[in-house]
Amino acid sequence: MRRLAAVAVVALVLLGLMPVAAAYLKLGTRIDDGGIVGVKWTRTIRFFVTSRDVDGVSPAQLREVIDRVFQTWREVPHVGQGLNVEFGGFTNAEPGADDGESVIGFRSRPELERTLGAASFEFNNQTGELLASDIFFNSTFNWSAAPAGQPGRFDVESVALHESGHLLGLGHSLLGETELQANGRRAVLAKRAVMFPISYGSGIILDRVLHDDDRAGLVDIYNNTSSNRALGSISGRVTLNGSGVFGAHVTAFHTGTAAMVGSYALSDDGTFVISSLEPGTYVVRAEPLDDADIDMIFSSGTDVNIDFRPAFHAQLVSVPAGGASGTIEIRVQGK
Amino acid sequence: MTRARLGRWGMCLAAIASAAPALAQTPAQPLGQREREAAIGVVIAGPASLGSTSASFIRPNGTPLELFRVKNRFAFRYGVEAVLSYQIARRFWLEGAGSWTLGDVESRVESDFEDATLLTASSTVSRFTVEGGGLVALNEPGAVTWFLRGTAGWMRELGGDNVIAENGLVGNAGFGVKYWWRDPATGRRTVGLRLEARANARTRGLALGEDKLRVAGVGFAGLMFGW
Repeated sequence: MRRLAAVAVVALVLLGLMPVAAAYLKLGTRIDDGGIVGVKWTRTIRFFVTSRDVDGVSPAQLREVIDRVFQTWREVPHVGQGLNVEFGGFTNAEPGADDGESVIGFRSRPELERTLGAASFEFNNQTGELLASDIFFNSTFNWSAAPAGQPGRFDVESVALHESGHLLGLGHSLLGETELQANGRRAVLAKRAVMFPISYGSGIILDRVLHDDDRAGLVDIYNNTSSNRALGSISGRVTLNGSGVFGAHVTAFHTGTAAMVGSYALSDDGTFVISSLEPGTYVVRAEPLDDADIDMIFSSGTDVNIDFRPAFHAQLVSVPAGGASGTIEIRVQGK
Repeated sequence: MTRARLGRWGMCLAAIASAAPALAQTPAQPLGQREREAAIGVVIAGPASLGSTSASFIRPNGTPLELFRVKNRFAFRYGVEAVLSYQIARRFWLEGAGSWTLGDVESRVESDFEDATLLTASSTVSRFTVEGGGLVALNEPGAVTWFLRGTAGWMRELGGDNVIAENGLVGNAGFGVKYWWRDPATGRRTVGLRLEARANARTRGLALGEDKLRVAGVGFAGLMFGW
């Protein structure tokens, strides 16, 4: 879900989804036997576009936009070509209905005053198989499909690329910084992931381009023999006075290419994994989540430790192709 | 001027040009006897910058917001090198060389956006090289021979306890001196000393910084054997 600013409850939780405790933050669902199955397409994604016009974006324009964003994901090396996507046609159905179809389109949701768009899912409750996923764009806002964007209007391609990332199974990235504004909203200072949960704002089209973190997230879900041979991972723990730090945000920075990929410590012992990394030498940094970030990532009430200072791992970390670095420990200090 | 006079002047100039310096008292070798030499010694490479890389986010206006910056460099490297030389002309040798050096690559973290404690993260990198090239003597080869040398070849760098390996290209250009001790009875070379100063250039290999040609100063000192 993409929001204009942080609100109290993350939409992924509202949708009954949960983060899967693995490398990159990705989505999963609990099935009848209690297990968690990650969101992953194993069949062709056949999508429909709503035939409803909104000011600034016609159905035909929206269809072109959706084609482009899927093509953008399909260009991710190693795995993108394995995503099979097909346009099913225009429809009068509403996105969000449990109809077994993947419907993408505009819908008026004035009560979601800070929500630009959201993705929802239909699963087979017994197997966890993903059956359909809808994306809605909140037509309460002003939209544009103009190639260069339009001042005062949100770029539908930027938001669609983010929401289609959710549709493909990706969770939120926290490679970004925000600042609290006088009206209580959070504005993006800067970011480096399309899957960052807050929009740049109206008139800006920077989110039409995927970043390393987005690509790593997709590869993590749809990994195959090619990606497993070519890419590597970093694993380790974040510790404070010897104890694990749950919820620490860990970033791997490639000293050669400047690529940045983030992950989280998602267990009580502070264990983290950053996967789908290009081989090379990395600087690794751990930081606490911002207060405003917690509800974008974890269910409310989750005990996330944010009371420590950002810290770097003292050694450079080497990532081999098709393998993993040795386990590292990032020792952080309390504030 | 007659044709005979021209011939005499020509021979005189040639004799001046080929006169050996005072230190080189041994007679020049006949061209039919190709010298073969082997040298083995230690090599020390000075620090080399690998450039800076910046961990940046992108602001809404498209400009970067730097989260932190790392300045990368090779620290001093040490190792061994072996050289084989084969004389193909009076003042020219073909050379083949192989080396192994070990040293740290360092990334100094600077200016963290959120005031993380700054530090220098490091990792050990070993480098194997195989090169070929030539050596040109600046004086008539003898007990002391000054030379210019250039080589180029392949390298393989291994990092992080050898978990990553990449190939690259390496080149050396420099100058040096060879000093031979000779058997007084036979005049044959016994053992020698070879000292060199070089500029070492490296490209590709492990992606440790910006992918550019990187130059470092290198010193070599070794023992020579000839036959």
